[in-house]
Amino acid sequence: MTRSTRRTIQQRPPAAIVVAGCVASALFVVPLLGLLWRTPWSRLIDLYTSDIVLDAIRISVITSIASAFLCVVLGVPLAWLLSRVEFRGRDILRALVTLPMVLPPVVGGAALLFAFGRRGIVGEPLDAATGFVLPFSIWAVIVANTFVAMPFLVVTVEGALRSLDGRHEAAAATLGASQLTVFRRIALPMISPSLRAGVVLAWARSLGEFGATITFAGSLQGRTQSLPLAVFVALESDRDAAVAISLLLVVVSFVVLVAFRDRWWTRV
Amino acid sequence: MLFGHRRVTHAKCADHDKLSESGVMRRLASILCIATLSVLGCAGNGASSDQDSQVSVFAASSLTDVLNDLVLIFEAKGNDVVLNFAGSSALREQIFDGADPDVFISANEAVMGEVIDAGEHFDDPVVIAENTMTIAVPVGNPAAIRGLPDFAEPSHTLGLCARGVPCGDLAAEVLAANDVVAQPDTLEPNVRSLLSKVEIDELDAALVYRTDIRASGDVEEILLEPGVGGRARYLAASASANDAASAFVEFLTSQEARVVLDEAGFVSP
Repeated sequence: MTRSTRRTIQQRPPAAIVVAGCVASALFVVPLLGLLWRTPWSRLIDLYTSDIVLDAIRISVITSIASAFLCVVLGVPLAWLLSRVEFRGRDILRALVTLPMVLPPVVGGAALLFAFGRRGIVGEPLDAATGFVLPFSIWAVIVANTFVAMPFLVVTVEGALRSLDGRHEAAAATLGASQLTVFRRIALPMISPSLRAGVVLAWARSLGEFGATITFAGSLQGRTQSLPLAVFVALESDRDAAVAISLLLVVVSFVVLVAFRDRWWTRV
Repeated sequence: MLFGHRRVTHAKCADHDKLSESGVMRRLASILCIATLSVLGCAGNGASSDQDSQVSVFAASSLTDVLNDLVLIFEAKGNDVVLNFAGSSALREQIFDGADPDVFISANEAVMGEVIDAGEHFDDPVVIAENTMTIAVPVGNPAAIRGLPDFAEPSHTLGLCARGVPCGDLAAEVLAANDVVAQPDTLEPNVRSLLSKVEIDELDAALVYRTDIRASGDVEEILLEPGVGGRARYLAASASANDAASAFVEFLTSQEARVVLDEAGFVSP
């Protein structure tokens, strides 16, 4: 420990790496400076208390928390299946689950529409049976958010489960604990830092979700218009408002990521 | 450039001790870092060209298809045209941010007025085409939409463009002028995303431009009742004292161009 600390102080990093690192950092930092530079500081309070922004905050809070909840309830069991059960097509399923991470969200939104829209393969029978139509409702926002956010939780939790030392679970099993008990009492507490990191990641991803939502849920103030949608619409009409909402999203996401990342990730 | 700098560093630092070598490297790194930042900062303004042979045109995105056709005809006469399409207000922001197009074509008279009033150097704009609002419904019109009053019916699933987008502004104008309190289920950020939801029958009806329907094909058109209004005028302005630019605008108002515009669903002014 002491030796490695001393080494960091003595050796300067190579200039080429520092330069590349600077350029990389600039790519992240400069756009943020641009945002701060364009921020209408004097109008900020007025903008944040306008109906459009307050409605968008409400929709974003509700949908991002709801989808983080769904990610845990559905994603953790899926991660467990992927890490603990051998079955045919597991690799394919794992690839399918992570697909939304690399797919353009708009594609995801269109796929959701074809599946759960009122003319979709699931949506049409659902509409006929119950009269419930998903698109253009707040449920559609939650589904779209969950679709893009859940892979982050599944990947994080599955990774943690796979790297878990199996002896504790094996010991509990030989002592007669059921698989469910082993999972609940042994595995879950042991991976809790990863689980919390996964939840935060999924929540943050869903807070920033735009493409799948606009495609699947549309955009209507007070019903489906979350903060990212409000930004996009405001860009056409009131750029000050767009910048103000963007700043809000950046600050909230940044604070959450810094706070939770330092607390949990480094101790995994 | 990066490589050159690195060689210099090594030469300079060869005789120095470790501490000062790292000092030089650090300083050099920070200089390079600042240089990179300033390059990144300046990169945004290269959108236009002052060369006479090349005409840079900023045009409202609803003109995308027809203008691409028109440019082919115009380019056959000798000049190159570079097209940049976006919503009229987005283009206005680009111009205010320093982009310097030779020709600006707006789908919105107010936006054109703002650009001229802000002292951007354009000649007086001319009307090159008109477009009318119409109702797009899925093939077969399953919800039996008949006209503008249907947009006040909550049981229909309805879409409009968002305010600030030309089709949204015009739709709001038309609805208000006819005392229809619309009950939309979505206000889409552009006409493409709106029409695609009509195409797959997720929306019963949407208010769009006639030309958008011509371009789409997979929707049916219900004409607005006569006299409800809903006309948009496209204005083109060329940069002052720019012959190639004014030649292009002149071409857009020519009989030759008008035939192409009519075919795309635009109305001659």
